[in-house]
Amino acid sequence: MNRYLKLVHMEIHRFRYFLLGLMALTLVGQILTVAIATSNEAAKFRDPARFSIDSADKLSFEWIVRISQGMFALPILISMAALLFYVFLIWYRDWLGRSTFMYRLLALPTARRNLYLSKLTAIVLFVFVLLSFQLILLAFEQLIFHWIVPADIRGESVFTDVILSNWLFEVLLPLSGSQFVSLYGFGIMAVTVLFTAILLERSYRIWGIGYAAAYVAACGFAVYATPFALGVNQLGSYFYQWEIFAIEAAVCFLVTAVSVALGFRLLNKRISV
Amino acid sequence: MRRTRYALSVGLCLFVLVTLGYYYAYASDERLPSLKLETIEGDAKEGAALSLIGSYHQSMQSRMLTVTTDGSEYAQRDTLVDLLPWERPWTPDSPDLKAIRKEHPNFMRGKGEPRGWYRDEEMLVYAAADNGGSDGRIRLKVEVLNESSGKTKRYSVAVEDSQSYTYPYTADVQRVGGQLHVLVFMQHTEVADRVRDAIGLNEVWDYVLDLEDGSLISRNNLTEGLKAESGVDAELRIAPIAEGSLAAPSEYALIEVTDIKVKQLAHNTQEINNLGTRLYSYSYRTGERKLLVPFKTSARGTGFMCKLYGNQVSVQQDGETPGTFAWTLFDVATGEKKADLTVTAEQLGGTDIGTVFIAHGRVYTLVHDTDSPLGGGGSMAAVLDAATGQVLYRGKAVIADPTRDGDKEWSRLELFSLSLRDES
Repeated sequence: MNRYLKLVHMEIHRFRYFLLGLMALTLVGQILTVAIATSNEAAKFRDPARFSIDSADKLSFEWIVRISQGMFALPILISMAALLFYVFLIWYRDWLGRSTFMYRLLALPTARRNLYLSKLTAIVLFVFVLLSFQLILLAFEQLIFHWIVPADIRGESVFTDVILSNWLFEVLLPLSGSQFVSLYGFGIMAVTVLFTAILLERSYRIWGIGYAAAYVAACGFAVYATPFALGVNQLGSYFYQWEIFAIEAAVCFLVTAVSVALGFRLLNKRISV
Repeated sequence: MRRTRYALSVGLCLFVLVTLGYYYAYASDERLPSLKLETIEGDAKEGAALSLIGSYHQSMQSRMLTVTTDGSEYAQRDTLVDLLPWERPWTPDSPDLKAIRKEHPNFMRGKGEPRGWYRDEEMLVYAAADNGGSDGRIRLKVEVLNESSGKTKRYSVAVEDSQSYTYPYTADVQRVGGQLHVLVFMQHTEVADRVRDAIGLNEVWDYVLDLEDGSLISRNNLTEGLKAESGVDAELRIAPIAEGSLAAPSEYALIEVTDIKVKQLAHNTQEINNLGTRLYSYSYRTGERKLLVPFKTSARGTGFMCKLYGNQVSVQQDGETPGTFAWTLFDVATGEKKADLTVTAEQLGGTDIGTVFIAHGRVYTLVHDTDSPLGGGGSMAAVLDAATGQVLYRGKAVIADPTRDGDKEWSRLELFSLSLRDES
């Protein structure tokens, strides 16, 4: 356990500046958006002749977030793309370069599965760190909004309404805890499938690319096709809706378990120093 | 240095735990107001059957809610389960079928016809009609579950000389002694230019099966001989009406026959005028079709609703003047008119009639008071005796939490419909 935690710390340490950069990008992008949009909307309130879209009496933070969908979403989407890229880079950076760092990792006196698990943990942690940062940032942005807008034209916003006013927040920060677990459980499954595909490529080289592509396709097909195979879109299907969901969840769990087990096996048996 | 070596990792983990933990433990709670249906007048037991439906508008979001005497419940936001496409939307709404699904979930599997159910103390029956076979004949698929022994019998009956019909669906299933009656609504087809198309009159057939061996005993065409009575240009529109409780036994069905005039307009649209409606009763026991007293639709419009519950036929429509509604009751066995009543919204404490429906000998209505400053708080739910028009219950939704700003909350609430509460 100790060695696993140390490996997790190593992965976090290696990525810290990049993570900080993504947080800074989100901070700057969204604060600028809030400042500019709030100033513009506040000016409209002072000039009723220009004001035509919203008939509300007061200007709310929720409205600012609603009308700035794209600018709020842009830094988040860039962060998501960066993390997706890092899912591959977290492995390949260890193989690239003159002194292959992966050989040193494989030679460590620790179970090789810890390498897999530490990288998986690190990716998941980075995602949750960015989500948590977004929540804190929203509260800070609301403060900025309060500073800019005078009290006589400022309306109150409930925090949950602010979340629901942006389509990306509603998806990434669902109000329901069970929805959060389902969504990010699905994301963890996807990461394990990609990790195993990477290890297949690293294990079998040229042929490995084909194996990796076939593995990803097979997992994707199993997850996508299961509900339709169970008749989810047919009148009078044999299974009930909750049963289809439970079976689909079991399939996702199975795909995750197989991916992790296969990844362990490849690290133990195929990849060598 | 050693102490701070892992500070970043530990700090990030704690940051995630605290922030997401706080969000899901507290910040993600929308803290919506809770409401309750309270009795203003009458028997509280009548109000216990009601469920008011509305929405709460918070800033730019709205949430659907239901209000009963037990409290209020807000609709959950779409979960991943809700996003799965689902082709049986009727199952959550019918108390009959909900009860069957609870007690016999395996028997209900794979069965998609909402009106294909019959249930009494002895047996549970499902029947469905289709013509998906290669021979094009109408096929009746029946499953009978013996409630005491738990055994299931299955029959599949092909109806001879039925190749000229299509789009069959089961309108009702009833049992009379040892016979099963399957009421099927379908359309004639004709072949033109080697293309088979449904262009004929809709027909309603009663297929009678022997419950012992599933053999077809007889069949009756309930729509035989029916003709438009409002002139040469008039066409017939036929609709079967079965017992309102989907799986409940009934000796009768209704046939609603409407004369319509179709006028073709530009852009491939049509204008359809209702020229008059007749209601026929059909007895499963005797096979007799009888004309009930024809009724006139309201001068304000042609909207009306016919329902059958037990032996009682109700025809409900808007009243002659705004803010009123009227209904007529018939005994389906004798055709005798039992009641012909009108009620005003004012009598019930409102100005406008919202939802009205008749079921189980009661008239359920939601009236609105457009003069009320409370918005949704000006709505009144009422239950009347369908036979006499006597008000049995009146109730209003109230905000259960006294600390809430009532005026502010009511300005965000809208109660727009009424239904019967799930009895299962």
